[in-house]
Amino acid sequence: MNAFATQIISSDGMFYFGRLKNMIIPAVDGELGILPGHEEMIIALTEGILRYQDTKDVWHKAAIGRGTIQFANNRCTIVVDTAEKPEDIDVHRAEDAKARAEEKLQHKLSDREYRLLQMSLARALTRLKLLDKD
Amino acid sequence: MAQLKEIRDRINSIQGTQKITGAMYMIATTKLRHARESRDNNAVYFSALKNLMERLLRHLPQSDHPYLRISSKPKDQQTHGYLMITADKGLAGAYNQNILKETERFMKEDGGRSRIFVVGETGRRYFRNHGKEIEEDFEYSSENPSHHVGRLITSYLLPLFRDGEIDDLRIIYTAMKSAMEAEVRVRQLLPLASSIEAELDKQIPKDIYNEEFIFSPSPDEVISAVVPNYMNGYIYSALIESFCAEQNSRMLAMQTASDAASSMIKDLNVQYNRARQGVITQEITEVSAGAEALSAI
Repeated sequence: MNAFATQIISSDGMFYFGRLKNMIIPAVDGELGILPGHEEMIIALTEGILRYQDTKDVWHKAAIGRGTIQFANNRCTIVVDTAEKPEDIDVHRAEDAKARAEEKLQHKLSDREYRLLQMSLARALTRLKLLDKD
Repeated sequence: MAQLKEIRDRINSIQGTQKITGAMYMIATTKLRHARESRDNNAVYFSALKNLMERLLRHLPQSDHPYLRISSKPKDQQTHGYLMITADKGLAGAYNQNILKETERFMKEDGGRSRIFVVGETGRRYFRNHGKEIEEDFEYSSENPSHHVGRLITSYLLPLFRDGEIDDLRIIYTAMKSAMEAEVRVRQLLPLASSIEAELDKQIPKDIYNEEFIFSPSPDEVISAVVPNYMNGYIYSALIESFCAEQNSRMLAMQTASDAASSMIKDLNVQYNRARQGVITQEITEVSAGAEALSAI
């Protein structure tokens, strides 16, 4: 048992399907590593960078949006609203979104607008962070 | 002669209409192709999302989280929220009517204690014309569904439930049953528990081994983080599903209309030819009668 079956599902399809040896997920209260045979769990994911090591020992990275991870019987299911590989990220769009969100956050906002903007800023920052580190 | 011209005009007018329905058919076909593609891509997410939520609720320790709490108000004082997804445009067969009918059925049962959140212009227009109250500042389009719209709708509705302005929330949308058939679906989004429990009792034998799940940091925090995300995902997927059904329904309606126009034109052409032949026959009769009259002199 040196690998676990993984499905990463985003709202526009199956993002990853295969076996992994190691995975680091962005949870609400910090990053979390997952190895084969992990205890059964359900955890909420937040915007961040997901890193995973496949059976050929290659590490991959993806920017993910909010969602949930579930681990049971050595099977891992991740359901997130968005998941993107570094090469799929549109830098200009992310930069625009960041600028727009930062500008709007300067104004007086309702609670709801504030939360929506925070989320959008977090998504933009995650995307940019994923590109920077490469 | 007058009758001939009338038939000709009628044919022309039907041909004009047929051109429009034909064009709309083409547009709906193209849109449907895109809509079906995004629906197919989304399908795996939608079912995974539902499975995950069911699993989560199944394993959740007893919790009094606000998203799971069933309203303590007496039944006849509860306010029910409905999120209904209609099209922005009409001429889509029975697509809009089916959704409206279903919603009105619920409204009747509630006896005026419902709050209606309408996505799409046709639904809004319908309720306005019938003098029924809907949420006026809830204005979202059903064209080109996006996560953004899903998030906006969730962030609008969730606080209403949290503050007790609505005691439950149902979503009414259209799903594709098969490639050609659509059906109206109703699903309770909030509070979460009751939408699942009934199904679960049937599904799981009581004595089966249940895995113990860890909820980190705590079950309630998982619920707080997961539920808005689940609602986003559900609403987004329902929007995609409905948009696909809308285009499909419009395509079929326009095809039927074009076919009907073709058969009308065919019938009118027969009538036209018959009338024209009648006129010619009459002329020949007149000419030959005239000739005979002349030769008789």
